Amino acid sequence: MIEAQGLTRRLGERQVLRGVDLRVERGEILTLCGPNGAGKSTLLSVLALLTRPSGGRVCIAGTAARGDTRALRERVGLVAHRSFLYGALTARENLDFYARLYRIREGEGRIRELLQLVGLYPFAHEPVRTFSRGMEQRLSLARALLHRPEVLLLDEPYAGLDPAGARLLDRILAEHRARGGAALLVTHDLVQAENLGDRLAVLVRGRLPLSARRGELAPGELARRYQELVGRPTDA
Amino acid sequence: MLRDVWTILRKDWQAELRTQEMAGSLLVFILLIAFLFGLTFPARRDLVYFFPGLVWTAIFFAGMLGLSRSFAGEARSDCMKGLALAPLDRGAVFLGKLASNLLFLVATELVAVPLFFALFDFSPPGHWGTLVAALALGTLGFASVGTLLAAMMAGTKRGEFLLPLALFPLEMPVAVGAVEATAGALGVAGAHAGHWLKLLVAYDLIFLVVPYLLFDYLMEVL
Repeated sequence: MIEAQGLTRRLGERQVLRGVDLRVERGEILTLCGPNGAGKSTLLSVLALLTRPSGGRVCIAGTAARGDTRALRERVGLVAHRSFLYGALTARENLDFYARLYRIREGEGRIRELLQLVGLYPFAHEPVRTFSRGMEQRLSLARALLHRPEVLLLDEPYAGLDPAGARLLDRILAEHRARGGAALLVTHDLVQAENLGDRLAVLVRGRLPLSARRGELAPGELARRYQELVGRPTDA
Repeated sequence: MLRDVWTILRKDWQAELRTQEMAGSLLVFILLIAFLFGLTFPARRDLVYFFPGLVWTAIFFAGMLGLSRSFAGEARSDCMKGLALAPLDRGAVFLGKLASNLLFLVATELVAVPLFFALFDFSPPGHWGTLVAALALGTLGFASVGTLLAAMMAGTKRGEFLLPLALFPLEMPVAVGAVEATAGALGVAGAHAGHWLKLLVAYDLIFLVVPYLLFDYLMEVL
């Protein structure tokens, strides 16, 4: 479902990605860990077709991303560090705006369904600038799910969520996986990475020195291998 | 494509109606500058020679205020990336933001131009069509270059400071063309509106097509 081969990305003099190969099948979640500056957000940006790689190729659902990527972008949902939400608009207006851009036919019904799902229905008519970090993250999640993407890319999606929000996200991911969707989730929490991921990967200085199925690693092995590759997790 | 342009325009106006950030400051600015010019340039018989320059100076400076704020909503939460992610022609983002900026400028002109005529006790011209064409083409040229540069500056640290520095040199042909075409419309001796309107048409076409084509690349690097 998500495939990257030999991805490289250069930003000025800096080589951010140095030949990344990865694969996430339908119904799988890949959890990606790595220290700050390893290139995780850049990798997500390339996989979300926001940034063209300097080399290598990206395939989404078997189609290589080249030239006009509009049709492929429709199949991808991204939760990034920033919410992509307009502070002056209400929660409902933000989702309505994106629903129109994604040509979602049952827009109003889908918006209501998602606002209820993320627990923001009572705040539907409140401007987003009045939202807490956690509420904005929930709405960002709703925005990413709006067009029912087959591929979900999530950059530290648990950041700012309260325990109820975190459980909600767990449930959303489980349902996404059960529907045959693929997800790539970036996290700094190695225990969470081990619990959530069907595949686990570590990105260090633009390379992926560890990529394995969960069953191939013994419990706690991810943390040990991470420490060997990066240093203590708290140093990252 | 038109649907996406409309969606972006609609979103900008929704946000503006709620915050009244841009309309309020533009209105206050245009009133202040009109009254300032009205006081410092008393009505004289030769006023017609510098009247077009005064009107366009006010429009350009007010427009600058609007342009510098036009991508503020997008910059707040990296919404340009949200737009880049959506399955739309990225050129439509340029056209949507341009349409939005144009509407703000036209609304400003609807206040500013009659106000200038009234304050300077200036008789409306005989060539209404030419005056409207000069205003429309000058505004379109200013807004299209301005929208492109405002998008480029939106992600930079000193964007609001850099925008006028980058914009005014590029706007020089529009400024000269719009002032001369307006002078022609007002019947100033020696001013030939036709030549200048042609220049404005050419300039507008170039700066509609080039940013439209560039926007796909631009949204990647923003």
